Amino acid sequence: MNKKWKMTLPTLALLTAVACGGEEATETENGEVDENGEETNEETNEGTSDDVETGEADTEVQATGDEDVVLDFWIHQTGEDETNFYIERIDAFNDAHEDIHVDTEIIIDDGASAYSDSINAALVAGELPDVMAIDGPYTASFADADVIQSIDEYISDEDREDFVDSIIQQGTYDGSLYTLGAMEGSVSLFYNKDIFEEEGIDVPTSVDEAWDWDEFKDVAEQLTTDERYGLNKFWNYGIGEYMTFSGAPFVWSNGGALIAEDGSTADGYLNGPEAVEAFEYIQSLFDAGVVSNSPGEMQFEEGNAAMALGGPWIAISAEDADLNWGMMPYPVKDEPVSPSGSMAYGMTTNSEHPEEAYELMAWMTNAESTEGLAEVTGMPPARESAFENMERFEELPWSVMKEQVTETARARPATPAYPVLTDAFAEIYNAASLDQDLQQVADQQVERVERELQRFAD
Amino acid sequence: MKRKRIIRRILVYMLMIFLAFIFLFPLIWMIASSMKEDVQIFRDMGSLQAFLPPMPGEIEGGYFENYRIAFERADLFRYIVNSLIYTSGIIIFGLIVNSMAGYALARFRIPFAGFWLGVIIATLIIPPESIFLPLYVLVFNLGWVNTYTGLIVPFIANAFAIFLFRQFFLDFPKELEEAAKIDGCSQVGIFFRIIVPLSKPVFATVAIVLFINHWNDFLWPLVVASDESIRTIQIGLQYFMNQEPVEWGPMMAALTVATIPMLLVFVFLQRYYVQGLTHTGSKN
Amino acid sequence: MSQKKRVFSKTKEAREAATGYIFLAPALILLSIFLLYPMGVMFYYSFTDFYILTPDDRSFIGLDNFRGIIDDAQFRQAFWNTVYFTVIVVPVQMAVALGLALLVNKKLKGRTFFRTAYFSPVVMSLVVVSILWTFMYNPSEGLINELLSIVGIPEQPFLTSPDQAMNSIIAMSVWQGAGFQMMIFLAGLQNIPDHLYEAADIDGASTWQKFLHVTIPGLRNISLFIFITITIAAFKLLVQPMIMTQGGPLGSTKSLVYHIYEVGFNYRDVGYASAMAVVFTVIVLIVAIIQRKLASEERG
Repeated sequence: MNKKWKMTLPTLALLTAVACGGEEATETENGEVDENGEETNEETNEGTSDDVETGEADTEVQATGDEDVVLDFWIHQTGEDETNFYIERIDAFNDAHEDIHVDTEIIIDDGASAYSDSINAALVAGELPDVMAIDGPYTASFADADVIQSIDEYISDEDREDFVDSIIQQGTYDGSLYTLGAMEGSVSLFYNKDIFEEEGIDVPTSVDEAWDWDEFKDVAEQLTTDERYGLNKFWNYGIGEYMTFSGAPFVWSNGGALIAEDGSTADGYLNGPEAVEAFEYIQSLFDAGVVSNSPGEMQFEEGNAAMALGGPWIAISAEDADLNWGMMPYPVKDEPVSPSGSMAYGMTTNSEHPEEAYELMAWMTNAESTEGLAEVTGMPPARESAFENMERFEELPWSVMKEQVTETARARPATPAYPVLTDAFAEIYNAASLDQDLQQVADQQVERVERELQRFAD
Repeated sequence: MKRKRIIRRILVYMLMIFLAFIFLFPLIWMIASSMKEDVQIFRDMGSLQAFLPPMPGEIEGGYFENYRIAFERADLFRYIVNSLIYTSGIIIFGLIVNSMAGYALARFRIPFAGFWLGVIIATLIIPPESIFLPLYVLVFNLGWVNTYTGLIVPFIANAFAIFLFRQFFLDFPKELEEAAKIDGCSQVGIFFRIIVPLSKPVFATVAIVLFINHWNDFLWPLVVASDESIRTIQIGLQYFMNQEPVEWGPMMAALTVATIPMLLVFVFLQRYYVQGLTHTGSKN
Repeated sequence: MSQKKRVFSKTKEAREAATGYIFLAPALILLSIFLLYPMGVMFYYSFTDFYILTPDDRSFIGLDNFRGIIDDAQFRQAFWNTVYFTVIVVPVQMAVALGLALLVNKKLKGRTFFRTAYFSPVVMSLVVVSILWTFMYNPSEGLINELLSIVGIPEQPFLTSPDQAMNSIIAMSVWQGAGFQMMIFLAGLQNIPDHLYEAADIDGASTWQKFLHVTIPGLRNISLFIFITITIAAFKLLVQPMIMTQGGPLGSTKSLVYHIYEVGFNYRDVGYASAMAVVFTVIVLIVAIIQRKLASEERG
């Protein structure tokens, strides 16, 4: 008998240890649990690494315990400089507000769905923060489900005025404003100055002079040789949000839409004649061989493509590669439109302190934050006043981007079915490179969007 | 006659060498590229150079520059340690729990044994991916999100492992146990003192099967271990790949680093593993 | 005397049953909590309109989700993609694994090297392999096209073509997995008693006859084991398309599990995703039962 127990005891001990694993752990302030009861993240943002660690951000200003209000704040993981800037701004906020303390959590974002998975998980568990970062076009999903609340009653008129139209448009659902972003996104036509000079091609310098589709295609054809493509459209970014972000203006410019104005149907819009014509135009670029559906990572930077239709980050990599580059406006058909949108902040209906939560949102998107962020990331700011204060945007090439953001930028449609709508758009857009009947592909994809819309019909 | 045999042998060797190339070239290319600069990776691709390490002095930063960059960009070391904690946790507890269950099903005359075996085998076909959401809610309510406990505990009991253990124990010579019984050993004693020490192969097999399965785990760690401090290597790699523009050299270095632990496990355990398979595979 | 013995054996039986359950309990409890219970919850969700953004506002909608599946083109496509993947991968991977096992089972010099070589892809995780092959399949700057161009084969689109993407994933999956089953086959081959071959030699059997009449029957059980495990694993295809193609182009590589994941997590429609998961589980169950049936019939 004795022997028996001697042998089983360690096993039983192990088993109980497993079964009671949860009890050994201690809760930290945010309800996160760590095995050893230690702070989950003691090394955040230490050293010179490019990487940003996720988890509780190690902000400098510690809670004193005297604050009346503690706000939970989620931001997504992104480049080091950008995240450090957020942390700096949050520190400044904590400094400036004796009665409020912000606990920041940096959530993993792998560029795929990790960030939204985390939000989903928190939603199901009922553990949302007071304020969180949301990708702009997803505003409608969250607003429609009453996950985030309208900020109409908090935002001042002059503040509202100062944001560029596309940011207000992006944050608005059903007539109310829900989210605000400090950063805008845009896509313009980058070009290799050396090649253009060689070929003697003049370039438009403002949005009024933007090339129309025919001119654009002609130039792309002229610049295509055996060794290089005329254009890089970053097809290597995959079939995802980037396609909708960067490609939707082709449809809009042709007088089309992704979905009806009232959001009730995509039938006759995403597969309507204007949209399909736009997709076919993209297809014609592939047919003409001026663009590759598998461009190399550095195709434009290495001179293997004469133009690149992409975001401001091209400027950084081109600069690194010592490329002599310039910027032109996004090509248009009838209506001048350009891509828009970026991460934004929303405050949840969970929040017990909406006023303070709005104060945090306002702080993170105020003039100082907006300008600083544009400085750090190279992205355009979300406020008119920030543009005024930044010399960079006064002259070429960046003046082109300023004009786009302030004059032609259009937000992606606000619909709770956006996750499906954007996938559908990306599939059709990508099919343009695949030698497909685009009308047929569009019809199939619309069917999928219609199914999704039914869920929100009532 | 003899000549014919020699020719045949040469043909077999050529086939085997060709196949070895097919199976090895991505691995070799990965390791060779992990030491090169991006420009060189692309330049070498059209020739055999692609599979050779760079010449000494050919690269400015030295052979391990990409590794340095990779480790600087992401805390690969921590990810690997996390993966090891995660997998070894599952293996250690899994071996205990599943071997006991397998033994019970193989040797004890217990009511409903057949029923339980059926239930356990039926759970084999449930795709874990399909129950992640309810499982997540459960783990959250237990307060286990972002803990090793939350990563490990749900996957300790493993139907496949139980099944393997049962098959193995069924074959175990009854005489040994009978003899032990006569010596006054209890059944619990028999299991831990006689069966377990004599069953190394099946333990090694199950350990390796669990290791392969969970070292590769993707969705569950992604959802449950969002925090950097317990992120596993497979998730860490994914982040690496999605940072545009992708730098091939450091990426290859990261992939190589992620492969090393698995490689070591195989080098050390392969012999047991084959033995174990010989046992479990032959009897079904 | 006999009376006494029976009483004794009865308590002994009870004690054995009790000990047996103690041995069994940890596994059963864990499986119940972390597999069967979530499974039940999933089953319940499948009859509701559970939408992640409104978790509290969830109502019972009967069979609506299941009705929805019937005319869901996406589901059908994912289903056929999965079937296609399974139907190709299972026989090809088994044949490759058996072929490799036969080769390295020969008593040739250096067979340990070859065995290790064929096995090496297994030690690279599926995530690593998927990322690596995404680079190798790259049409313009990938290794495989560069190698093919040496032999004069024109540039192939691989993952960017709806016609080739799934086949590319299949080729990679077989490459990655075959070594694993090779090891199992090898173990089986070594278990076939030598005297059977010797007897066949005496009867004057050719190599091919020996293969057909000694090797194949000797591997029956093991083949069945491999067949069932590969089939079930193939049905769960997820990581490869998720990393390599995001299910595209044109949904040509979207698998059932991936589709369920996407609907549940990206579109947040947990009710519908759960219904699909239930259907998926039933499909796998039916396949498993058919396989068992066939196996036992063959045996009988």
